[in-house]
Amino acid sequence: MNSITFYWLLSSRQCYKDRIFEALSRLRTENEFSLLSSRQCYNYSMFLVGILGWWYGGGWTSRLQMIVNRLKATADFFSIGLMFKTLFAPFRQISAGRISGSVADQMRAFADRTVSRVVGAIARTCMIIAGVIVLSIQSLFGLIIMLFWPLIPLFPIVGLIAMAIGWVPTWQS
Amino acid sequence: MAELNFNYRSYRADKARIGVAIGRVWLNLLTPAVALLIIAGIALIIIEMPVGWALLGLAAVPAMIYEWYKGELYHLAVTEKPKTIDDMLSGEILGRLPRNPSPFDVAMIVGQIPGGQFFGARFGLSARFLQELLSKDSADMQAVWDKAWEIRKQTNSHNISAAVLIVALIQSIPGYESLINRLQLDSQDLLAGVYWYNHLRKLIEASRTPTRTGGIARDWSFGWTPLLSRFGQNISQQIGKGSSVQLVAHDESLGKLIATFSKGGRQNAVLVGTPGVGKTQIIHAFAKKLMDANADVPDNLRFRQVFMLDASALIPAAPGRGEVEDLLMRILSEAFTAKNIIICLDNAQLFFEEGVGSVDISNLLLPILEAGRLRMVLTMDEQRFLQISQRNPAMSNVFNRINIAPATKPETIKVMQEQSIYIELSHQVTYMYQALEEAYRLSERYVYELAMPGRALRLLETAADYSEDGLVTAESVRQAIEKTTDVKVGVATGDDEREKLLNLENLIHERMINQTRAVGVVSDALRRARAGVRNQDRPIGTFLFLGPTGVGKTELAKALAEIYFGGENKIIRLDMNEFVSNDDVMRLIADGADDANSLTAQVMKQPFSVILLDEIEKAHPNVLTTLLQLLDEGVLRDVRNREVSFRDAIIIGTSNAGADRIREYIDRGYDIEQFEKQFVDELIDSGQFKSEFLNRFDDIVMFRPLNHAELLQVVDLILVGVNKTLSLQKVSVNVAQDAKEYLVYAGYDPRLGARPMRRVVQRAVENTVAKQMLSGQVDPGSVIEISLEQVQAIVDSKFKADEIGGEAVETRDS
Repeated sequence: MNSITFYWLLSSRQCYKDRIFEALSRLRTENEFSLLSSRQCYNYSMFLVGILGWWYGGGWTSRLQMIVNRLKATADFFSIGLMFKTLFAPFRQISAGRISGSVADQMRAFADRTVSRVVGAIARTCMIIAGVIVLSIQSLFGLIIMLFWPLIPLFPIVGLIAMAIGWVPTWQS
Repeated sequence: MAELNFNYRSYRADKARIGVAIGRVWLNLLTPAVALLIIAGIALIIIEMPVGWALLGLAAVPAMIYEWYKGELYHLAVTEKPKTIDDMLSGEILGRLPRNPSPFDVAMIVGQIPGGQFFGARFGLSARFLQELLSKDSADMQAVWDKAWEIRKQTNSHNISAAVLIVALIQSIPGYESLINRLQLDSQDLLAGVYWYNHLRKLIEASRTPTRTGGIARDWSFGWTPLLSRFGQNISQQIGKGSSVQLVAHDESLGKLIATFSKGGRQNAVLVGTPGVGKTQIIHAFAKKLMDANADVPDNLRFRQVFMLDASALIPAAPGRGEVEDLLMRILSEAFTAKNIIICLDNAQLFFEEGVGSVDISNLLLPILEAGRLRMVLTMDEQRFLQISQRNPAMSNVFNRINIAPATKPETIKVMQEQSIYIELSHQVTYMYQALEEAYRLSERYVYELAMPGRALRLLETAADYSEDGLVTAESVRQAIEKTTDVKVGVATGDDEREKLLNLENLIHERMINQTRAVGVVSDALRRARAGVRNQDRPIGTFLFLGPTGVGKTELAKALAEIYFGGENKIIRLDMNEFVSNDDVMRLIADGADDANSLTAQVMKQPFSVILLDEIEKAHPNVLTTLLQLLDEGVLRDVRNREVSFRDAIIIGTSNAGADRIREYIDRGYDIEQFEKQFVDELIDSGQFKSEFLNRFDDIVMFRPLNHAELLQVVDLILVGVNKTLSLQKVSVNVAQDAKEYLVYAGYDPRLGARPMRRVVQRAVENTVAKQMLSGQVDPGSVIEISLEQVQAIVDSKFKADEIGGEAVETRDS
């Protein structure tokens, strides 16, 4: 039994951890390792079980949670929810008050208020667009991270294979 | 109930050990290793060496370990359905435990991590100290696990932390109560320590969680507020900049405040309470809650900003008549138009009364408050609120009043635990739990101006200046009180003081003769107080001294003040013949600002003193009735209804009432003890004192007239005083025995007791010495001998002069 076997077992499902732990305990007692002492083997194995178990279990989901939290923070920073709720509210309460007076005054106030609302809507829309762009970029990065996350433990192997192949980019024209 | 055995080889325990190993050795190397491998890998690839790929790939290993440590191992989660003790143990402990741990091993481990160090610093229960007492037998560990499990449940702790475990270890020591009692702690205090530790952990975790406050465009729907920003403080903005507000007490009041503004009706609230009760803190907590996007507040309040207006900032900006009103009107209009402003008038009484730093704008505010459309919060002292309501009844009707009661003891302790963090940061000190308890106890008695928790916090802050090596202990708090109020609040511990207390009678007798019983009772009272065995809810002692003039009643009070209380100026002396009318009651309890010599004002300044109520029988009956509570409970309420403590004072009343009867009994050959009870009954029967008044005293002590031998000793005492004065001139006097006898004959007056003796001795001795010194007959270091003839020459010439002057000397002749 080697580390690759453990890795394969772990990458399948979280609930295998207990079974693996039992197997490890058995290995320890049976003293199957000849080159290293049983205790060292056990420790190394536990290390691998632990890190990979977390990486494909709690680590992955907590990374997802972290990305979601960042997106929420960005949405809060750009006040996106508030902007939607108050899209057509007068900007900075300019000309927002009620006016009592002649019909002409009322009409003028209505016009002013409409301008204020339009200005507000434009400003808010700009802010929403800016926020959505940043959110989109963040989401894309988040997606890439989530996709790459399970591949990261393979990087050492990939690196060794690439070294064995011996290909490197050349810079000469 | 889970099986509480410890499984060293559990999956969680293995992880915890890995976490500890990484944290100890590898953690600081991981990030540089990742950076180094990536840089080296890229560099090698650039120079066309394929080994660079391997290095790049290997960079994933330390990066993964780092992520794992931060994501899981650093705070190892507890098992959802715990079966064994290791399922609940905190990772940092679990990772350090050996296969078969003993209580001794656990104490050592706990001492290495923050929870254990917290208890070491805050309670004086260090792991090293516990190790001395704990067993090294691993079989004893089961009891510790059981207790830890129980404490975790009791304190609602997330896991079995080092704090929980250290309490379990302490409780596993046989007879641990007496051990912790020595540190002025009990079992409940230890649990309070676990709560404190948990609370601090929560605060740290909360500080790491970013708060959402609406973002950069939050206020676009609301108006600009340039005037408000100029003259007011934006509390919401200040909180957003990072100041932390946690409301430990008064959650209910905060709820009421939010409810007031979330429903219809008048949009105002007035927080009424004594200064120090936490009104401003509630406003800050309110502002913080409104700014928190995740908080449970109604939508019509979310992201509303609280602006605090300060009268002292407004008045200088509008010096002209009516300008303040105009300015305030513009500010309030701006707040109303902006739509997201809640105005707060802290110390709102300053806006309702004319004076220095205050302005009466009630006529302007009243219609605004009545309309109830502009949201306003006011804070006001209870007394001032009542005064304003009395002056302007309409005012009290428009307010939604929320009473803020002083915090209870548990709440105050929690507030202190919370606030001590900030004081610790600013003063670079660490508070022990015992200091918090002591601050509560002592502030309750000696800090008058504020209510809880403000009064305890003030003392706690003062105590920071008396820390030892940066540690604020209960002793630091006591010292803060002792240095600022001159009260001795602790138990006598110094050798000098103990010696003084044990020999108090002898020390007093160095300056007064006989009256052994009186000296004995006051000495006993002081010893009881300083040994900590007296009733803390009464004065140190209350005594009524009865007897003729000049027998040492006042002298005993002075001697006590000088020897024990630190000087004769430690006497608060009231001549009760100045309190003969009903109106004089007010002079006893007047506010110090109006009458600095009132009894309550003097005791507030100097609580550790001898209070001498001279000629008490002459006071008005209502004055004596006022004193009843003082004698009984050691407190007196002043005109401002503040409770002034007399619990660190000795109260001595003196009276000449029945002096002739005492002399008569003595002349008939009675001892004082024989007629004492009968004499007190006579005083009550004659109506000079009421029985309920006399019963309030701890002891009624009778002073008997001095006999001839005692008067000779009085002369000796006076001569000691004269020699002390002359020691500056390096000379001394020696008065012949027959001359002393003559001085007694000349100085004693049955009506005035030994009082005239001092004058006679001073005249006879000091005049003789003065003449000899001026004539050059005395060299430094010499002893001046004074004979009978010299004394007679001076004293008799005085008698003759008195006779010529027509002064009566019949009393002496008789």
